[in-house]
Amino acid sequence: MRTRQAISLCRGPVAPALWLIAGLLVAAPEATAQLTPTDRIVARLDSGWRPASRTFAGTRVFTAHQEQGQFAADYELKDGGVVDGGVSYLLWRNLGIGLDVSHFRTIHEARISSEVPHPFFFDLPRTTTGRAGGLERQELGLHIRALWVTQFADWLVVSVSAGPSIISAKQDLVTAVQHTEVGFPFSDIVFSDHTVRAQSKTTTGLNGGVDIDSFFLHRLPFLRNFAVMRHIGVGLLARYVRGVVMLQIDGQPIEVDLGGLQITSGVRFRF
Amino acid sequence: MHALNRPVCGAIALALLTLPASATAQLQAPDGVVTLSAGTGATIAALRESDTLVNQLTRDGSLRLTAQTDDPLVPDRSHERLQQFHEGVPVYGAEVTRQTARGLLVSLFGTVHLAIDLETTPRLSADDAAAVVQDLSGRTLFRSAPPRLVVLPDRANARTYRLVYEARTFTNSQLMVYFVDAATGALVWSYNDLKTQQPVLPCSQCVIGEGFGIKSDRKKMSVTTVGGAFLAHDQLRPAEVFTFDMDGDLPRTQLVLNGLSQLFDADLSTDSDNQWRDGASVDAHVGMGWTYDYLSIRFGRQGLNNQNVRMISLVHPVNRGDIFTATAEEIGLFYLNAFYCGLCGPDGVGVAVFGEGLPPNILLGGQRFDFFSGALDIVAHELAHAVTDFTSALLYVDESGALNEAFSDVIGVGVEFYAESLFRDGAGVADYALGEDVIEPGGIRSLANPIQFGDPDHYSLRFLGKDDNGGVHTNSLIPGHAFYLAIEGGANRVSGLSVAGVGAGNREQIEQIFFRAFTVLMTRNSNFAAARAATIQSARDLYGVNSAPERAVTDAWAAVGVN
Repeated sequence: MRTRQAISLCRGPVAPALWLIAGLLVAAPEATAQLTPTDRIVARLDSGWRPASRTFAGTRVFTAHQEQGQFAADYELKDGGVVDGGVSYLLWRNLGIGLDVSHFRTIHEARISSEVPHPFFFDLPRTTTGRAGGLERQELGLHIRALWVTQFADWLVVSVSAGPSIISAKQDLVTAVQHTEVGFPFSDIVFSDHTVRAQSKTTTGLNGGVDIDSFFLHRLPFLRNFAVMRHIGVGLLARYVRGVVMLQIDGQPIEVDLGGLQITSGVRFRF
Repeated sequence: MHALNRPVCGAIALALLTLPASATAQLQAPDGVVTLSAGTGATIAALRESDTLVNQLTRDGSLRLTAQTDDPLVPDRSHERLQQFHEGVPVYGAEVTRQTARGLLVSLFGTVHLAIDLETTPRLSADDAAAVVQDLSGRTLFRSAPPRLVVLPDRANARTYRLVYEARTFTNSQLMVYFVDAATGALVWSYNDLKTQQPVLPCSQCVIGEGFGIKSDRKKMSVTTVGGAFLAHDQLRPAEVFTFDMDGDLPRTQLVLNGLSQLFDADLSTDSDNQWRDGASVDAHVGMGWTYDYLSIRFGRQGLNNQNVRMISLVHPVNRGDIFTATAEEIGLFYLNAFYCGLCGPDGVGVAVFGEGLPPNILLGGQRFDFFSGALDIVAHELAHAVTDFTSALLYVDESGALNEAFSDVIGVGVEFYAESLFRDGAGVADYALGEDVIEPGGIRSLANPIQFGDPDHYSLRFLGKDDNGGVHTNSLIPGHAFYLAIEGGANRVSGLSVAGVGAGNREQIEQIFFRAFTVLMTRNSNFAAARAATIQSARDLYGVNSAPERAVTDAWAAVGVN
C-alpha cells in the first residue's frame, strides 16, 4: 500500500517538485552567493492543485402551499486542478514584473437544508436535507505580479511576488429544489431533486506567492553538451489568490469567495 | 340442527348462572338478561365465568363475530365485537366486546339475553315492512337500508321479545328508526336517530388554497383544481373530504339527504382564484380535515369507519333570508342546528349538515347564531357521531344516547385543544364550551360547568323525561363533566367530591381512555355504569392498574355520582 502511494506521488502533479528537490541535491555543492539574476525573462507553465478549504452558502425563499418556505445551500468546495502559466521580466536589478494566467476547475456538492410549508397548517414547516451534486466551479485568473528575484546560484532562482488579480468566476448555483411528499400526515418530506444554473462574474483581487526555480539540467553529465539546457528548469510556485464576488439567484445575492492557496509546479524557461 | 341446539344451550347457560353461589357467584341474570362487565378489576372467577358464557354462546352460534380489530393504542391487544343472534336473527342491542392480549382474555363488556323464546319466521315480508314504514314516514326507504329482521327486547318488560323489522328513513327533519312488528305490521317502537348539535392530496389535481373562516381567520384548504376552478374536495388525506354548497336550496338539500338526488362536482363549494372567502365552506372543509387528522394522529384511527370512508358535509342548506317563511321545524334543524345523518347522502355513507344560523340582526335568547360550521368543536362533534355509528353504535335514546352525545362532545373538545396546540392560525382558543365560536356569547353546553346552561352535573339530577330521546343532550353533560374532571380536576358541585385530574398537559391520556372505551369496549346498550366500567378498564389497559389516569377516571365518575 505504501509503495503504491509513493509511485502515485512520483507520477502526480508533485513530480516536478520532486525533480526540483533532486536538482537541489545535485547542484548543492557548487552553490554560491550570486544574488542578482543573470537572465531577464522567465516563462513558466505549471499544473497543480488547490486544496479544499472554502465553503459558501446561499438561501432562497420560495412559495409553497400558500406560504413561504426556504432552502439553504451550503456549497462545499473540493480540491481542484490548476493550470498556471506566465511570463516575468526583470526590470532593474532584482525587481521584475510578471503576468500570469491561471485556471481552476472543480466539481463539488452542496448540502441542502429545506424548510417546506405543511400542506394543511400555517407555521408548521417540515425540515429535510439532501445533497446537490455535480456542481462546477471554474476560475480564470489574470495575475499581475511585482517580483523580487534572488538568484542564489546559477541554477537556483527564488522570487517573491504580489499584485492585483482579475478573476472571472463561473459557479453552478442551486436555484430550486424539489421535494416529494411522503403522504399523510405530511409530517415528513423528502428532498428529491434540484435545479442548477451557472452564474458568471468577474471581479478583482490580490495575489501573492513564492516561486522557487531550479535550472540544473545543464549540470547533469549526460546533458552538459546541450547548450539549450541552461535555459530550461523546473519550478515550484506557491500562490495565494483572494477575491470576492457577489452572485445572484433571482435577485438574492450570494457572496462567493474566490481563489485560495494553490500549489503548482512545472517547467521554466529563462532568457 | 342449530335451531334445536340454541334454546338448549341458552337454557344450559341460564342454568349455569343459577348454580349455587359457591360455583358461580359473579354473573347475575335477572329476567334472563346478563350484563357483562368484567375487566382487569374483576376477579379471575368473574372473568372466567363471563368467558365461559361467551364461549358457549359463540360455540352454539348465538354470538357471532362481527368485527375484529387490533388495538392501535395498546400493543398486542385485539378486540372482538360479537353480535347475539336468536335462530339466525340478530337481537337488537345484544352485543359483547371481548379484549384479548396475545390470546389471553382481558375484558368482556356487553349484554346478552338468555331467555328468548320466540319464533323467527316473519309473516310480513321485507317489502311489506317497507310499505308500512313508507306510510308512517311518507318517505321512500333508502335503497341502501332495506328493512332488516331483528329480535327486539322490550325496553319496559323483561323477557318480552318481539320479531320486528328495523327500517330507517329521513323525513326532512328526522332520521327515524322504525321497528315494525313482523307479524302484524304494527309500529312497535321508533326513535329519531338524527344526531343533532343541540335539542330540537398526492394527486396531480390537488392544490392548497388559502381560505378565510367566518371570523376571517386564515386557514389552508386542501382542494382540487378542475378546468381552472377550485373545488372543495380534499384528496390529500386518506379519506376524501367533500364540502358541498347547497346554495340555500332547502328542497334540494332534503332530496339529497333522502337519497333521492345525487350530488355532483358542480355542487361542491367552489372558488375561482383559490382565495376562499365563503367562511361557512372554509370552516366546514378545514374542520373536517382537522378532525380526520386528530382521529388519525391521536388514536391511530383511519377516519370515521376506520377504513377511510368519505367525509361529506353540506353547508348553506337554507338561505338566511328565507327564515321568515320557514317552518319551525326547518328553523330548528337547518338554521339553528348542525346534525350528522348516518346513511344519508351519496351511497348512504352519512352526511354532516351545518345550519345557516340567523341573520346578524336577529338574536335568540340574547345569543347570536352564526354559520354552525364556524365552530370547530361542532364540526368534530357531528363527525364523532359517525365514529360512534361505526363502532359502539350507542342507541340514541336514554343513557346510551347521552353517552353517544357525550362522546361527540369529548371529541369536539379534543379536536379544539389539539388544534390550538398545533394549528396556530385559525383554530381559535380551546375550551370546554361547545359551540361558543358561533353561538355568542357562551355557546350551548359546558363540560366544565354544566349547570351554566341548566344541564345536570350529577347523576342524581339526570333528566328522566321522554323529551329529546330521553334527555340525550342534557344528560350527556354527566359523563362529559366526568371527562372534564378527569383532566382538569376539581370538585363536583353536587357531591363535593374532589378529583385529582391528570392535568391539561396530560389530556391526551384521558382522551385516549375515553376514545378506546367508547369505540372498542362499549356496546349499543351501554349505560353510564357500563361507561364507567369501560373507561376504568381502558385506563388500566393503557396506563396500568392504580395509575394516575385510572384514579382520575374512577374519581371523576364517583364525583358525578356514577358508581
